[in-house]
Amino acid sequence: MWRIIEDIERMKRKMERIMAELAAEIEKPMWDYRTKCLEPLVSVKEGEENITVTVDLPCVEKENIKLYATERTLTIQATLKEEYRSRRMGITREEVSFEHFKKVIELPKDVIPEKAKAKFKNGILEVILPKKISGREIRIE
Amino acid sequence: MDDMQIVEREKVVEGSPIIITGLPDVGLVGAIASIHLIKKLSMKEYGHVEYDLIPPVIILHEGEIKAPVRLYSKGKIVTLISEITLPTETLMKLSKKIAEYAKEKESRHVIMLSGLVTPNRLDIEKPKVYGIATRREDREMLEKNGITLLKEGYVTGINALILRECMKKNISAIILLAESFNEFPDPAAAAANLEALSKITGIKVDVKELIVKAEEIRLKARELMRRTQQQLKALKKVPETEIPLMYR
Repeated sequence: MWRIIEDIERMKRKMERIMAELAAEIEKPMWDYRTKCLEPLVSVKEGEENITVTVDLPCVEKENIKLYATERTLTIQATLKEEYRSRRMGITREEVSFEHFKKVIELPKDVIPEKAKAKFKNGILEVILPKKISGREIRIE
Repeated sequence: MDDMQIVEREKVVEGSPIIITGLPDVGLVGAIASIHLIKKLSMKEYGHVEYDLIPPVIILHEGEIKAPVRLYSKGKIVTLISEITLPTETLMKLSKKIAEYAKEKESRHVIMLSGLVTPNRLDIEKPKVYGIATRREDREMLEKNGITLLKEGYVTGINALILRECMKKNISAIILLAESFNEFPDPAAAAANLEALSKITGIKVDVKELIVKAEEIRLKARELMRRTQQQLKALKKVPETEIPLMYR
């Protein structure tokens, strides 16, 4: 009896894993032709004192990037150097074009937005946001 | 189909080929490099991999239906690519199949093109390429060609499995790892990888386009990169440069 339950559980786990991988394959696209918007690739890393957000922004000039930070989010908007046209972005549409990147990133911890620093090199944007420290140091007597 | 098969539509592979694999991995270095190689050498598609656990995806190109994991050849060069992130369940089978195929074709080398996650990649103009080889003579050959051997660390993911299966079958297997971004497509690393491939095999391939069109390639590769990252996280990929406890 227990073996049957174990077998069912194992099959269930396998099915869930396959379904999750399939879902990843068909998840929502990183583009929206109605708003002419692309979603950039983003990496968020939490250090002891800072949260570092790195964003891949190819075909973008530094002057055309806008960043907005709150305590818990970072919004990136960037206009492409020129309209990006593609015949291959989708199966049914003949041609689609995109004008900008946009992404709102949820940060893992509260940050101090006014102390954030950013640099942009070779189409990669790096934003360092100092974490808001809510605790107090306790002195050991 | 319970067992994985390499289906050859045509018998075009010439004796003792070099088999090059460029599967989606860190920075999509291998995938970008191998697709560029196929295009530049005008390699011919001659086969594909069939297996039940490969996701139900077909690739449509100008109305023609293509399998996601395909084989191309030209003369004594074979290149295997995948246009999708392969599920974890398929990796073991695929690595065994590649080693079996290499043995059957009496392959000269199996060469895996890949990336090496480099934290300060943003500050590196020209990525350096490192090498790993199963045979001592290949390690010497890599060093003679100016490719630094990766002497301590881990190899994880599909390339680790291919390397292991090739070792079991006494097949010469080499991994070329170019310094790369982890989460972003890295055409410059792919170019460095192909230059290293040229040095060790004599296969001439112009990589200028990878540099000139780098931004366009990065735009187009975003979705495959995102899916590949999800898989690498699931595999808990360890950086190759981390030193194993015993050899610290």
